[in-house]
Amino acid sequence: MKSSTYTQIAADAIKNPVLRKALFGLQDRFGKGTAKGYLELPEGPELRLLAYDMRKQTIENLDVLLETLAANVRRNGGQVHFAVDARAAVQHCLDIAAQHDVRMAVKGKSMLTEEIGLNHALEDAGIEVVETDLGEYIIQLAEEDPSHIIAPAIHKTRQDISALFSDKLGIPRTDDIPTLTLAARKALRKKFLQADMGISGCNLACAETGHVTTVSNEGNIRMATTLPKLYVAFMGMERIVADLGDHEILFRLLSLGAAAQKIGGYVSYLGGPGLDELSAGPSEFHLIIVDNGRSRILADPDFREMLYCLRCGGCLNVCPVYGEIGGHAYASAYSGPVGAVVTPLLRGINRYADLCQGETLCGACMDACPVNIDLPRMLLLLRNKLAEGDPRWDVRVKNPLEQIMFAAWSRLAQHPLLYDLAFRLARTGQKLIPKQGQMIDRLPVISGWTRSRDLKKLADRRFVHRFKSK
Amino acid sequence: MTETEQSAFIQNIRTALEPTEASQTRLENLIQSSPEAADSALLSHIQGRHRKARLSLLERLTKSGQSLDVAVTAAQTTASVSESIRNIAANSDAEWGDRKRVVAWNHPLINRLELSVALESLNIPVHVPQITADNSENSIFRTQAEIAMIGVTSADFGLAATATLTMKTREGQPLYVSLLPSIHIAVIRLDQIIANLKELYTLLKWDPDQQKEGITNTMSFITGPSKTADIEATMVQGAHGPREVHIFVITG
Repeated sequence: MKSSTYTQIAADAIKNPVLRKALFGLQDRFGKGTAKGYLELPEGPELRLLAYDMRKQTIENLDVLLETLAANVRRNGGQVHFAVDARAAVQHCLDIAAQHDVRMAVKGKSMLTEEIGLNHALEDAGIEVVETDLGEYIIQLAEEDPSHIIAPAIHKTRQDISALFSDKLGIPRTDDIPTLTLAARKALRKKFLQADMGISGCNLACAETGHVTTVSNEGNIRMATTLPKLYVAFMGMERIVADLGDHEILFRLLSLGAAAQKIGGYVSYLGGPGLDELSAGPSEFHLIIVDNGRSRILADPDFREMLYCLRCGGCLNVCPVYGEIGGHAYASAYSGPVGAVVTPLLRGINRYADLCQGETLCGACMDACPVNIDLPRMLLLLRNKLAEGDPRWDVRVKNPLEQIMFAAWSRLAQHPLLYDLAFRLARTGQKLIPKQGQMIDRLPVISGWTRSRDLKKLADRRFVHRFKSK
Repeated sequence: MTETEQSAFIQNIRTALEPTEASQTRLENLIQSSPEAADSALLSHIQGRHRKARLSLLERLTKSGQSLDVAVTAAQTTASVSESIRNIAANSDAEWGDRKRVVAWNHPLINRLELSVALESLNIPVHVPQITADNSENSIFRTQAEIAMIGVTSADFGLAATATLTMKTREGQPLYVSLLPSIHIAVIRLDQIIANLKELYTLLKWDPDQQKEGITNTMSFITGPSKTADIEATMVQGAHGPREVHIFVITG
C-alpha cells in the first residue's frame, strides 16, 4: 500500500458528507450502547477483565485446544482441515467444491474469507458465490469492499442502493428501505434454496463440545448453514474457547461489543452433519482452521495479545479516526483500531505503516474492547518498530531522514553552545519563511510536517534570557 | 494428508508457545469437568423452582418480548393456543406459495394442538414430517416448508431475560421450520421458561439429561424476528427469516 493511498482515501472520506453522517450515527448508537451494556452487566464491567484472562489462558494453550476441537468435531461426524496459509485454506474449499460438483455457494459474512480472498478463487473456478448478509450482498453487487466489520455497507445511501438494485435486480427505483430489503429477501431466497454449498465464518468455536458458533441478526447464516447439502466453516485459529462456561461469558461480551445487544438474533452451534433429512442440516460438515500469519503473532509475546481479539468491531464504533475516515482507508477487511494493528502484523508492517501512524493513541478502543485488549500499546510498538527497524518482523526504518534529524536534535540538546547557535540561526532564518500572524504554516524541505499543522514561530528572545532580565 | 497437515500446524503453534506443562494437565485445567458449588446450587435452584417463581419468569419473558417484537401469550390450554394460531393464520397473507400453508414439528406438545383440525375450516393444509423407514417423505416436507406461511415448533427453553428460544436437532423436528416460513410460532410449557443465558449454560453443562444428549449437530438460539439494519442503519424486520415470532406458553 502506498502512503498516498491511505491519505487520499482518508481525505476523500472526510469530504464525503453522506459517509460522515452515517459514521456519526453508527458511533453514536453502537459506541454509546456498548458502553452502557458493559455497565449493566450482572457481573459489572469488570467482566471484561476476567474475559481478558480467559482469552490469555486460551491462547497460551491453543495447541491442545485446537487438537481437542478437531477430535470432537470428527467425533460428531464432521471433517477438519488445517490450513497454514491463505492459499491452503482456499485450496481445501476448492477441493471440497470439486468433489461435489458445486455450482453455487451462499455465504454468511466472514472477514476471514475476505482476508484469504476466497470469493475470487471460487469464481475463478467457475463457482457462483453469493454473499447473503444484506450489507455484504449490496457491496458484492456494487463490486466494492466492506467498510465496517458489522455494517459493511454503511457508506452507501438508500439512493445508491435503489440505483444498484434497479440495475442488478430489475426492480423499480424506490427510496423505501423496507421495499429494498424485501427485494433482497426475494432474490436471496432463491439462492439459498438452490445453493450446493453454504459457507460461513466462525465467531467462537467450543473445544469441549466440538461446535463452531455463528451469530447473525438477519438469519442468513442459519439459512446458509442449514439448507445446502454441504457446509464449510472457516475459522481463524484463535477463535476458540475451552468450554461452555467460557463460551457463555465471551459470547455475551461479543454480542455487546458487536452490536450493543444482550444476544444476537440468531445464534447457531454447528457441530456436524445432519442426522438425516428429517432432522435437516447439511449432509457434510467441514471446518477449515486457518493460520495465515497468526502463529507469527503468537510467537511474539509483545503482540500475542492481538490474538485475544473476537473481531466484534466494537473498537471501530468509538475510534475518532475511524469515525472521520471510514473503513476503506485501512485497505483490508479489518478496519479501525483492530485493523491498524492486525493488518500490518499479517501483511507487513512497512507496507501498512500508515495505519498505526494514523491512529491517535487516545485509548478509546481499549475501553470499548469486550476483552480489554491494549491496542494503544501495540499501535505505539508498531510505530517504534517503524522508527528503529526490527529484523524479526522484517521491518526497515521507515524514514531514515527522520532518524538522522532526531539524532542531530539529541546532540544539539546536549551542547548548550551549539543549541544557542542553532536557535540564533533559526530565529534569523524564520524571517524568510511566510507566516500567518504568529504561526508558520509552511516549512521548506519537511513540508509534509506542516501540511496539516501550524508551527508557532520562535520568540525573538529565549525564555531563559527574558527570565534573567526580569 | 490431513494428519501431517494437522501435526505440522499444531507444531508451529507449540514452537511459538513453548509450553512447559504436559498437554493433558493443561487441558484438565482448561475444561471444567465437574460442577463447582455455585454451579450445583444454580442447577438445583432451577430444578426446584416452584410455580409462583415460574409465573414471574413468564411475566419477565412477556416484557422482554415487547421490546424485541416477540408476542408472548400465556394460555391455559392447548385448545386456546390452537384457536389463537387459527386467528393468526386467518389474518395473515401467504408470502411464498400460491396459498396459505402451515408446517409443524412432529412433537408431542405440537401434535396435541391438532392444528389440521383447527385450520380445516380455513382450508389451510398442515404438514408434519412423517418418520418413515425409508424417509421417502422428507424432500416433500422440505418443499412444503419452503413455501409455508407459518411454521410451528416447540423449543427446549424460553429465556425470560432476552425472549430467546433455544432448540436442538431431533428427528421429526427440522430446524428450518423456525426459519423458512414467514411467521414462526413456538409453543412451550411454563416449566420450560428459565431466567437467562447463565441458567441455560448451567443446564447444558451439568443437567444429566442435557449432558447425555449433548449439543446435537445443531443448536439454535432464536431471539425475535429476522432483522437487518444494513441500509442507512434503519431497522427492518424480515431480512431472510420470519417477519413475526410468537411464543405461546401453556400454563395449565
